Amino acid sequence: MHPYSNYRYISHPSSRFTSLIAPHRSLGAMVVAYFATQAITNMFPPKILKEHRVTLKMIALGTISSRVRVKVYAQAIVACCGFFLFSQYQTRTNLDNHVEIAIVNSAGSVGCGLLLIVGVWEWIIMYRETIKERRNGKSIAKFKRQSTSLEGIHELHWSFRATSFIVIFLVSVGLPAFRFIWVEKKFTEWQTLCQSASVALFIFSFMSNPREKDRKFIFLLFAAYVSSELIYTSHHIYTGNHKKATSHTTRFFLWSGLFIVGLRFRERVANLSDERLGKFIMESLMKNFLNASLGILFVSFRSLNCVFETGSIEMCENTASCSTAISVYFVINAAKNMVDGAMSARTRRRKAVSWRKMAEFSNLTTHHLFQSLSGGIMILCGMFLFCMMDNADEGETESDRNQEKKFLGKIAILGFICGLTQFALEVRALFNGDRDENVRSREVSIDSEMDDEVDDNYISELNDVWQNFTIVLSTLYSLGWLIPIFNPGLLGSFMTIFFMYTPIAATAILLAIFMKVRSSLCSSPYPPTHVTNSLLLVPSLIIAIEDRRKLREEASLAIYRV
Amino acid sequence: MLMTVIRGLATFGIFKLLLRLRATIGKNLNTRQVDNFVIDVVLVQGVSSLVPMAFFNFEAISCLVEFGDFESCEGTTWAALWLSCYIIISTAITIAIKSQSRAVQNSVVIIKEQVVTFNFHTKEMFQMSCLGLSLPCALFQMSSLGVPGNAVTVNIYMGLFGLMVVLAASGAEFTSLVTKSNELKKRASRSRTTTFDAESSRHLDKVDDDGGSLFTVGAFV
Repeated sequence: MHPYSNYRYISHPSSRFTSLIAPHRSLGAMVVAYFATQAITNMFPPKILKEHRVTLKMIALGTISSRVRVKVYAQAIVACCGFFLFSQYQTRTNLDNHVEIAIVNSAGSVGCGLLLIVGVWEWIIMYRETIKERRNGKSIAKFKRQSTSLEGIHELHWSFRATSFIVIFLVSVGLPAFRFIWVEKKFTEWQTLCQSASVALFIFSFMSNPREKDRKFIFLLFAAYVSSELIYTSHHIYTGNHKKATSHTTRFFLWSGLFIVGLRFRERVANLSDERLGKFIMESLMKNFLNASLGILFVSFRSLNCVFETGSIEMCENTASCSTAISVYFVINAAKNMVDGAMSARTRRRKAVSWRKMAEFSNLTTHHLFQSLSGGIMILCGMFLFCMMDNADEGETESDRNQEKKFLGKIAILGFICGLTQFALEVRALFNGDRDENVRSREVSIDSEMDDEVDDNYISELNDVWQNFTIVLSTLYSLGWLIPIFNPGLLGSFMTIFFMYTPIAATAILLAIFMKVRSSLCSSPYPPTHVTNSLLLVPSLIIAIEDRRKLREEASLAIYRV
Repeated sequence: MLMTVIRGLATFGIFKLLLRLRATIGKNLNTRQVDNFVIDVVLVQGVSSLVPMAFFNFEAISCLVEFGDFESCEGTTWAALWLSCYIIISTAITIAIKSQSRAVQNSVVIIKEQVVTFNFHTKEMFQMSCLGLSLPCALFQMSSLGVPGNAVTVNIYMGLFGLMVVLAASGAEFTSLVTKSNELKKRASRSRTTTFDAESSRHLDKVDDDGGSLFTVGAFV
């Protein structure tokens, strides 16, 4: 028996390096395999390549051959392997035992293998087609130009709805059932982790067939989705936990309310013209939710990696909560974009927050301000939660974990409220759009004149609000440095934070200078830039004062010792 | 105290330089160009550059929240700081490039064709070498983000080296911008006397923008 076989893998000194580079090696191999297959594929004639290209429209309508279907599934598995290995690489943890290394290597092998198998399969077919084409002397390949029109798309293929229903059923009915049968709390944790994906799939399949008059499937889908709330409510009533029962009942009513709004939205989408409906299904539904699902997969694999490292989902509660919160933000953003896709072009242009509107601050309404502010806060919360995702729960005590959980929960809820506000504003804009359109249609001539004016309306400088924003950023920075003067004990931690903040303050001042280009033609530069510039010197002075104080203390200590 | 005075003087010098640049923009660009400059360069690119900085800082703050002591997160903090510094420099250079006329921009920026054919002048070769040197430094700092560790010295020296290299490349870019701008001004003044010069200058103005400097893109990376 090997002397190290019963110990953790890391204990073997020679294995330490292998365990560290295993994910890098597998990921690198996958990247190389991908580029190599792409390079060889691109060597075939463009006509053949065009024929073999799989478009999103083909996937949406399900008009693909078995070979292409296998290819798409293989690519999905490759993407999952890539995300898993990337999350493993990003955490940069040593793999603890042989099993972990074996799994990482297997993921790499499966990814590379599938890429190569699918690649070789395609090359053989393309090679045969190329030879045939050459022999016949002219193009016999049935080069069917893919129709770019989106007019004929009224619904997605039924397999999307079936898959969504199965996943939603498993998450909302299966996992709670397992939790009560085996009395294992971990199933609830798994359900929380999968909740956002389940919501995304629900919205996706809910909107995939808007012109379908028969609503049985929609109600069945909704029943499957909310059944988990009903199961938990009845369980908590049975166990006497009325607080949790109320919380689940409230959630049930919240989902029901959203469902009713969703039905109204669905009707509205069904009334769109054929072309716009096709565009909505392809762009706002298919592409948008594909992007969101990739994001959800990416963050979920980081949580899965933690589970894989620690061996229990309870240990990764905080990482899983961060992952769920970020996934929810992805879903909210996708839902917002979907609502945006159902608006008329004019309403969208009027309601969208453009950089020009932001620069002028003149055409901005409360809607624009709230939307941009809530969107910005949601992004910041998402970034912070992403940074807080790690595997550090393992070494923490229970109280530390709970404290961190509370803090993360507050950030997640703040982001959620902002996201929901953004979504509600978008829905409001959509439903109020018609009324506004009617009012505006009476003023078509005036409107077109105004549109003409906009083209000549050049901006020579940004609004004062932006300069004030940069002044606030730099002033906060300078004032922050004053805090340690009153409380020298805080110097270490404050210096660290404000040290990191220096580039942001410097960028703010740099931008402030160029926001008022025309004012440079006046005799003196814009006064606030002088103010902010002088404030930049404050930290230098404080450091100098602090250095001097330390020197004095050391000198007095030296005198005392003598 | 001497360091404070030096820092103050350096800040004041940079500030004055930027004010001169701003005055040049105000005089040289027409209304449409100023509109593009203010919205696309200052607002969109400027505000966009704050987002990655916020992300880097969050990485460091999350490390501080996680471990509670500065020693464990010193490497991350330095990495966030150096990466933010690279972004500031690239933003400043973008502003400087976009503040010039299209003719100057076209003569200064490195285009894709030049990279593919490896057809560089000495200054461009120098800038590409700087880019090649600073890229590993930036990637190293990226890999240090969010990871607690003790390799602080390597982080500091590597970041400092990267900063020096980026500053050298930016200096070269800035110098060539000033030289080309002066050259074109002289040529334009001469062209008033001859028709031929006027034709060539008009031709230069018609050259389309190639979609931004590759150098700037590289610095962002």
